[in-house]
Amino acid sequence: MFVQLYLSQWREFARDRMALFFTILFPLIFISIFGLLYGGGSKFDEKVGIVLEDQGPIGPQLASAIEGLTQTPEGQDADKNVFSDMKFSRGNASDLESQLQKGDLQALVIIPAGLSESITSGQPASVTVKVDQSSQVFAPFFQGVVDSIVQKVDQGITQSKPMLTMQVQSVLSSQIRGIDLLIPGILAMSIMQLGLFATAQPMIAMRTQGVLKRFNATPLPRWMLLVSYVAMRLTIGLLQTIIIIAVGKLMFDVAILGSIVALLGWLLLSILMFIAIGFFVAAIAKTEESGNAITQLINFPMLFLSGVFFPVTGLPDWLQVVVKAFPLTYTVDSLKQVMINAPPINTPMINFVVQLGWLVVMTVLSIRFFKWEAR
Amino acid sequence: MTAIQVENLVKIYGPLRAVDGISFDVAKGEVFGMLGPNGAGKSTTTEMIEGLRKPDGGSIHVLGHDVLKNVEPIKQRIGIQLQTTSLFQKLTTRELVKLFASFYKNTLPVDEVIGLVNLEEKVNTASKDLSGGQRQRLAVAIALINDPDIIFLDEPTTGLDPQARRSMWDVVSNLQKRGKTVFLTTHYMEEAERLCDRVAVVDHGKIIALGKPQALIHDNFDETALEFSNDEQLPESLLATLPGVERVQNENGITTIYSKGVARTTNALMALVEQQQTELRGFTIRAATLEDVFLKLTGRRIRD
Repeated sequence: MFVQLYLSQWREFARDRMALFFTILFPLIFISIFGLLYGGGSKFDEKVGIVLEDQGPIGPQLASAIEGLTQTPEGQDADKNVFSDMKFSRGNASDLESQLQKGDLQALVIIPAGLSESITSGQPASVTVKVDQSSQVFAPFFQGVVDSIVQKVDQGITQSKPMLTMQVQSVLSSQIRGIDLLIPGILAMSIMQLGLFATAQPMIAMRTQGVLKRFNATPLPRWMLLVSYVAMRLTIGLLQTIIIIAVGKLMFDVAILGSIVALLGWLLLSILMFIAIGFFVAAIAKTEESGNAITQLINFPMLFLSGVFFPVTGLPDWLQVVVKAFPLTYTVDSLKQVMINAPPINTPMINFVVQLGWLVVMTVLSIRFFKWEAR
Repeated sequence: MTAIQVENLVKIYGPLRAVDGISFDVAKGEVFGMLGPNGAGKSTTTEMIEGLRKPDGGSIHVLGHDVLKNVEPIKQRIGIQLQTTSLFQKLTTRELVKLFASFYKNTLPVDEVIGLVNLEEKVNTASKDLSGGQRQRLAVAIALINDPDIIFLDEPTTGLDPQARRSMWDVVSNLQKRGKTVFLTTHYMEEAERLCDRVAVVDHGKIIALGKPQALIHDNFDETALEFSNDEQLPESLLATLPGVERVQNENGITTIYSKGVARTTNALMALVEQQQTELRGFTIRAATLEDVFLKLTGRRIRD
């Protein structure tokens, strides 16, 4: 019974080109367009700051070795040196740190005062590298390169135990790449539209066309119909997630920084919440036309104001109050946090409680107002 | 043994008594029809018997079960074709029948019910690509999938062309031959006369006549009908004085004269037409039908 219902809905969905377009292709088109807008070349053009506090011989040697990355050795093609477009700047620690936080720098190398002295006196010392994790390709690459320079310099000092080491600190700037922010945003958008367009509309259609009534005339229990309906939407949501994340990863190198389990948990909560909102729309809308109008009324403000395309923090204060009422705001925030370690707008607890609240309230109201028959 | 037992059934929508104290029994193996115009309360009655609507009064027993108390055991044993059902648009005939088969404990083979409604050639056609008649037969196939004891057909041929209608009639006749109880509603008197063992004629939520179609006609008429239309409208009072005439009825420009002496009445009518220098259009002489019964009882035609 369940399998047949599930399969039937799946076939109905998979044979509907419009539904396929809006659930699968539409988000991908968005990603591609914005990806091209945000996209860059294949060379690193990141800016790196160097704080040289060490007065001894080793510090300056390290600094110039790192800065030497932009130089292409004799006889090699400069086009093949991926670091040739990088910019280095020196300065004091506090200035450069704040530039790193703002996203003006993507990495910072700190060679602390007294480094040479401690090494010559036999004490190990370390260089600190702070990298902006949002530059997801550059960060690990640069770390590796600095590490190899540090090891080389260390081997020049002594043949025995390593004296000079590298410490890495991850930093998240306030300017994560646009495409990094876009992927969780598009995912949130797809989930919302799954709830609105793919849940509310077919349910209203099934009611107005008498499909629900026909099912009621059979021994099929209502809960079974609902469970298969929700299960089917969960599958689509998961499919959308996989496709969007895969495209983000393969085309734009957007990695998932948080845990997959946590991501799945947040996705499940958001999908269920928007399915519940979809059911509520289906409960209050009498016709497919009014259902469509209500859906658009919910869709548009949230789509543009809840942080899918630009951050909520940039909005005027009065609008931020409005946006705080939108469930999508919390979905976008929670997904950005778990996927790309974006700076939080709300604590995870608030994101969880608000979305759970929407889920519960919408479910209760849907049960209260849902009609099985058009009339 | 009665299949359906309805007593004093009432359904009220606001100021309207859509079903106003209807009672009847349907025997097992019988083809029972409700005949009446749109809005007479046929579908409402049907859906109350099927357990889809709650009545405001009266009692319903189907196969011995009280529908108002517990409809679930009945659902396994009845098959329903609703007046309008569009199912999943993009599923094929076979997929839809298979889907509904999964809801029931006992089912007939999918291909067998598709064969019963002669849809073998359309098994892999999406339901949206079926014609109106084919879609109705698919709805009947779905109604048959659980090998039901009673089959409800609500206006099975409404909107169908004559050929599709005849094809549906064959399906119903086959059901009857298989010993099934069929409960159908229609506003085509020809359909009721042809298919039904007994007919309940309904109007404004009430049964105004109940019995075998031929008995209903004979009880109300031992006359023959002469029907025509006439631009100048020969006055009813004048027509009523022609020899052999029992009654004259005028409806939508069509005049019907009920006569006990066809030859005398026809001759006199023709003489009258000649004398008045007028013309008769569409002049026919026919036996009385259920339509005439309805016209006599309500003063209106069914299809109004």
